[in-house]
Amino acid sequence: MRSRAVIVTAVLFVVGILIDIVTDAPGYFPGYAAAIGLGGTLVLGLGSKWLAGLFIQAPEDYYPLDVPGDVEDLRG
Amino acid sequence: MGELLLHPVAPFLVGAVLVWFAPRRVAQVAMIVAPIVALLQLALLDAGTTVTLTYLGFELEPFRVDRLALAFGWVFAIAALIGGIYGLTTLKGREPTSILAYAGAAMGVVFAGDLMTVFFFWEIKAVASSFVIFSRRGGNSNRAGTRYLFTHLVGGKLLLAGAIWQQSTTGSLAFDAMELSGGTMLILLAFLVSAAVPPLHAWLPDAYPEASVAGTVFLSAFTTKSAVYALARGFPGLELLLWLGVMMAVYGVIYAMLENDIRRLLSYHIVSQVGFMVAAIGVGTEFAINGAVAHAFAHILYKGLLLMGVGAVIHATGRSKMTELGGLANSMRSVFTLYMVGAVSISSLPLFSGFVSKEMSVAATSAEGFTVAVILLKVVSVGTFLSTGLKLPFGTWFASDGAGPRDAAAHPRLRVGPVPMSMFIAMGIGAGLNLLIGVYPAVLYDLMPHTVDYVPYSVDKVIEKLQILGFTGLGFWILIDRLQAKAKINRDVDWFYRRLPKILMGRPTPPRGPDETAPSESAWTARGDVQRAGRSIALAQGRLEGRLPAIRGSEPPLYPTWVLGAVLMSTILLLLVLTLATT
Repeated sequence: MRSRAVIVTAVLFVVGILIDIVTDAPGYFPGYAAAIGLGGTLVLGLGSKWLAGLFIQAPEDYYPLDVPGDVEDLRG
Repeated sequence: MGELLLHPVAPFLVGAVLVWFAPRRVAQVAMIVAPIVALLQLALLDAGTTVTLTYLGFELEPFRVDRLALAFGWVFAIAALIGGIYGLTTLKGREPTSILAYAGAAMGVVFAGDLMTVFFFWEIKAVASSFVIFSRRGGNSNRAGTRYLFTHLVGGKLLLAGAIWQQSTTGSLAFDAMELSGGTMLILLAFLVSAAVPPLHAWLPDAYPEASVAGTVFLSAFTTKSAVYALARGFPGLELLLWLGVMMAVYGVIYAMLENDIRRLLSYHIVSQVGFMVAAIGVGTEFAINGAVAHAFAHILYKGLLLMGVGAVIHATGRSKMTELGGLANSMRSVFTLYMVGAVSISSLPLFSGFVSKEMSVAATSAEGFTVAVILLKVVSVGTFLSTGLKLPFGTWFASDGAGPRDAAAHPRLRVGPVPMSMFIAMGIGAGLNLLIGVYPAVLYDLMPHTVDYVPYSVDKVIEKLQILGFTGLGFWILIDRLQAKAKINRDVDWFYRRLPKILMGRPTPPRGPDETAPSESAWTARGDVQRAGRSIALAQGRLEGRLPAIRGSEPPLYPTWVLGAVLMSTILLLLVLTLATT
């Protein structure tokens, strides 16, 4: 499934560049918006996971005094 | 002085007193009537109205109406009305009193013309909003509320000290644009605390998810946006704010990407979105101030809608973590649809409110040539859509391996309870307003403090936005396995006051995992006198907390640990230092 997603994304990225060229879009370069969308996703997605592993994330009982299940059951 | 009758604070504070004594049915009516009266008052107010008086020799201006104040006044009243409808059947105990006092105090800040009046309402806001958190009386609301109260009381003291310093050096308490000086730096710091600018932000994602589902909706509307108003009023054009705002936007979105708790995820997005507003205030042009105010207005509406959506999920399922949800799409289709209106609004999809507000603040930043800031803000917009528009709804409503059933009969693990009609009505109003502003932006632009020349809809802008969002969706498709939430918590700067003191005091903590164990008794004895003293304190604290289960859930709502003692002691010390410094 991931390879299909990569192929679809690559094709649409080329289409996005062509649209920018045809419409003379005011980005810094053709494909600017597509690069922001895709690049931003990759940088934020992978970057945040990297930071999480580095020092951010901890087990759910990290603060021992916190009540673990932090919602009350309000169902009717 | 007759103008004071039109002060929008009045119906909220009168309502707050009334609902303290009145039966529940009257309280429900007051929650709706108070904001409606405030809306009528706002309709009757003209920019330029002002009330001045002399008190203790100070020239005060408790009521000042201009277009900046009116813009915030309108959206605060609308938010109070929507929140009141949303919580009609779920608000309990003294929560309506706290909420009305909180909303009224936020109004008071907005219409204050001098720093003393700002401080007066600032403090009411801090205390009342803390009690909104305490009112849940469950989960971690007591501890988180105490930390919230501590932070905001310190912020209030900074504001008071700054106001006194400002008065002593300039002879004026007027709340207008200020130059940086000793006193105004304290005032700025107080506003930055309330705006949740990192590293002063941890109170927000700590406390907001711990209020009741309706309480969180109110909290999202008033505290940070009062600070945005105060920054726009007092420090427009301070370039430091531009970079602080960009940092906020990036910081908030990174943490939101990692969050598992659905309300905490949206709380981090408040930090991120307020970053756009703070950045625009830092740019400081009329265009940018319009962008900041427009974005604050739209943000209150769509963030309220998002929190109402996830609040309905929590109300119906009793769960707030994505790892414990999933597969709710069939049973909560209407809630999902209404939530997604908020999600595409915050993501700036054309025809929704974010597109006409957030893009204006980014355009204003671009117009002044801050290219790096603009690129970072656009990348943050990607993260916003990724987490609120894709990750959260996927994890909550769709994820096929989630705990929730696609078919309730086949998978009885997660029973979905009913969502009250009042919640649907409130969400419907919120969704309608977001759509109205997106389709007809003049409704919003006519309320802005300066004339708006910005045209949000052009082929270029729409194509660019659609491409950014479209490729964000494709990126999510590629990374879907890696982006799903994990059953973890995220360490933020609150670690410095929640964990570090206990480590320094040598307080034993339970084992954290297979590789980490609690220190042995013999280890304690080898750590010197200071740590032995720390251990004694820790043991005494442990004995105190050992008695807590007996009183937890009963009066008083404040959690009587060293945290409360630290609140009081720090406040006393701060006041002492400031007193000595100014004499």
